[in-house]
Amino acid sequence: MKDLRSSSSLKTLVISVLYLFLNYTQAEGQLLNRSLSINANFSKWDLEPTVTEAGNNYSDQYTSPSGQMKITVGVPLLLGSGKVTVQHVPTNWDDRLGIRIRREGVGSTLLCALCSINNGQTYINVGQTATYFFDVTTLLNLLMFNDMELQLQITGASVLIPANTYATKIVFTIGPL
Amino acid sequence: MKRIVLLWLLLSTSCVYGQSITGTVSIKLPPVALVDIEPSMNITMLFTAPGEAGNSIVPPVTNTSKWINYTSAIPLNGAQRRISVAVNEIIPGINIKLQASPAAATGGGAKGISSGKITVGTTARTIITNIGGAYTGDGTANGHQLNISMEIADYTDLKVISNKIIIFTYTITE
Repeated sequence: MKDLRSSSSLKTLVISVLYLFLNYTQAEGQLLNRSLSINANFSKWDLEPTVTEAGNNYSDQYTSPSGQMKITVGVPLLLGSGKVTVQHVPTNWDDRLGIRIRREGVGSTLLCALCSINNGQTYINVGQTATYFFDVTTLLNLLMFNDMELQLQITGASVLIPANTYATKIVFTIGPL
Repeated sequence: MKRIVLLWLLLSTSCVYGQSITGTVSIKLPPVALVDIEPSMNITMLFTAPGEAGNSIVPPVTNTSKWINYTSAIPLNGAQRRISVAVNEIIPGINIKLQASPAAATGGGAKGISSGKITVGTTARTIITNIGGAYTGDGTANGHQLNISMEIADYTDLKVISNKIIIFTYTITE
């Protein structure tokens, strides 16, 4: 009888957590596909630097407006942690141009108990191979860091680079810590 | 119950590993063609009357106070640029000469090459060629120092004039 009660309680717990997980995911609009998402409305940064004084070059670096890019990171109950890497995949790029990125905060969190987000607050160079950006961990519950604001920098802009429009994709990947 | 836990594990795992999202960054570097003369104030060049009959008029000393600065960005395989100069009018009997010095070490890129000493007229004459993607730095001691001088070309055309203002126009083109 005790075993049955215990089994029933555990089943109820698991179903509850699963229900919570699905509902929370649906609220994000990304059913079963919500572990890492980006806010599509702010996923693009188009920079058009100018030189206004003869003799000058472009600035050493340009920084995106705060919150130009946002991502949402989620880690489910039983996994407990995740590592986010970043890289760029050139569409049309000049290697003299550099990209740097940092996160400006943790975004908004729900259901956060004994959770943490680590690293990523100082600029790192974004290369064409995946580079560790930050990680998230949780012990007791589902975890979502919503709309975490990111800031980008472009370095190396110069009139020595042929005039053109250069573009690259910034790829964020979540994987095991 | 085991099936539910297994399902949950599968859901959890499949939702996390290897998921990627992308954003896009672009930077537009437009063609740039800017030229400027530093410092901006006017210069005065005076001819001096001889103190002794039979001697020639003394021309002004060469003025080296002006520097030409430029910034140039060209498309891939785009034509190199050049800088030309023209004046709004000439003075009868007087030749205005101008020579751009080699580019100073400041700035960077494919800075231009001086065309040597030319006589300035109302039609544009090239003073610097072969400018690629380059910037000279801003202000005096950056870019090419200009040597501006005046010579008497023909005494028969000389007339007494005072405070004649000559405007130099510099243009950067392909």
